[in-house]
Amino acid sequence: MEASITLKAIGKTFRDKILLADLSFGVEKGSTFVILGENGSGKSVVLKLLVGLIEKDVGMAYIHGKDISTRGHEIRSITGYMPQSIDLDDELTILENLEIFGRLHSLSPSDAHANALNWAEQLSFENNLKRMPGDLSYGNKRLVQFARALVHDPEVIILDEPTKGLDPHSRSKVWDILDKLHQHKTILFASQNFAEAERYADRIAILHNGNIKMDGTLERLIETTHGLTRYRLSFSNPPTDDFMEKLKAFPRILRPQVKGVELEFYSRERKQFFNALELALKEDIVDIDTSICRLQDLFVGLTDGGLE
Amino acid sequence: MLKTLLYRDWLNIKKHAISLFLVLTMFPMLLHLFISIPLSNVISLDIRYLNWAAPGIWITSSGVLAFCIAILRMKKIKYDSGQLDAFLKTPLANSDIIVSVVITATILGFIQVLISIGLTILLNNEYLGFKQILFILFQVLPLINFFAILGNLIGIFVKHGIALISMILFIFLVLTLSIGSFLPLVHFPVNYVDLVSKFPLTMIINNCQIIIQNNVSSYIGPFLTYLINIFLILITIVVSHKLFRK
Repeated sequence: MEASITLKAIGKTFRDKILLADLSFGVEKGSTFVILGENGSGKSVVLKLLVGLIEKDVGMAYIHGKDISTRGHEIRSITGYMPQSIDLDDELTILENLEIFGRLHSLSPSDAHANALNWAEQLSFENNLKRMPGDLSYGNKRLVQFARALVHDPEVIILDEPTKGLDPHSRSKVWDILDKLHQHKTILFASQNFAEAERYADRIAILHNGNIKMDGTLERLIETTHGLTRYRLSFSNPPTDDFMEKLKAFPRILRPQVKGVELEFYSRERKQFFNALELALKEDIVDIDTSICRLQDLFVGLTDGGLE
Repeated sequence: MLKTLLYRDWLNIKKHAISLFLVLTMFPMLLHLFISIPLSNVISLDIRYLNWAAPGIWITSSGVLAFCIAILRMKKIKYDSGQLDAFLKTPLANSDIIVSVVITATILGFIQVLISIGLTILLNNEYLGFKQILFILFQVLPLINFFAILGNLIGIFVKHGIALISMILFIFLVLTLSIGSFLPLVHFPVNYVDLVSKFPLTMIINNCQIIIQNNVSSYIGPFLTYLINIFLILITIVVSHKLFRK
């Protein structure tokens, strides 16, 4: 498939802090790509760089084959970006905000008006059109920002934590819209919501310290865990130090962690689990929970010292 | 793009039309009331002081207004509301943002000068012919434009309210007290007069005072101001390229 967004060896520092380091990835046209990362991992920096809000120090970045450094003007006209922070014009009404942004993307006044009304209707904020941004709740402002990113019908949609601060009803509306759009648009979003990433993204990248630790489809990412399973044992009292020392002595028990009266660890081998269970039965065990490693486990493993 | 930004400013001005109209009328009247009238009792000139000081009211009110509008708008865009990021993700060029602020501030400054001229004509019972008013506007327009550009440039740097107030106060004091708008330059030291009379700003005020006396004025002041304006706006665009996108 044709590449819509391509980043090659991007580097960015700000005040001696490395924000992005040798970052490379590509997003295919008509696909949904998510960047997962902890706070400060550089997710927003990547998105801002693509829409031209910040400039890269080194590397190349293209959207629809156009270099963002030299053809930023053209790129911004085909890109819709929703930032994480609220940046609505507080001197204009919601309708005026949407219309002005449509017009700034070369829509005619009548098209900008029609599109603004259309998105307001789809996202159910028609009643807020005449109100000022300051009169709206955070979630409603985020909905307006989402509409503003789409008002000019962009080919590439870049969203920074699109459902942050939204109620479940609004969140599902946003995803319904993105689901419809993703057939013929490229969608790139940053998130910390693993369930949404698993549900909606065609490809997932895990960003850590300004670099992609791993990327691919959900299935491929899960495959890389080679059947890693998470085990959670609950006790009536917190497990003893003696028990923990014995558990840590098992070679293939990974990341054993005690959280209150719960013990969590990972392993690929059932036998190791049975050994641990045998030990646990001598303690005051009350419950067992096992689950195949999901994206969140993989993410925690990759960004917090690894699972090996 | 520029048209849309100007339309955005128009939408905002419409919402504040009444308060803006009050400012536009009160400002020159207050200058007349608190500066011109008291000084008319102290300063004696060959012509009536109130008539002589009228250009000071026109230029101070329009210059300060254009400066305030530009500096406040640019500060708001750059620091207060995240609007800069919102604009920068559209196909707008930096120059569009800068020029739109300058045009809006210049237009409002121009409206201010028209209102000021009208008010001083009424308050002083003086007569200015259409041709005289045209000459005055020709002199004053580049000056309003200068203060709009200056406000725009300073607005890019001024992050804190106290710095903004200091700047506005400084411009107000310069315009009212230091360039012969309300206090005749003959009362200043000779060296200072030699220096300040070479400034285009002083030339323009002097030209306006000449025009109301039906004499022929020079056009060096406005011409030099236009050159300075071009230079300043180029600097502003260069600065914006350094500071707008991080």
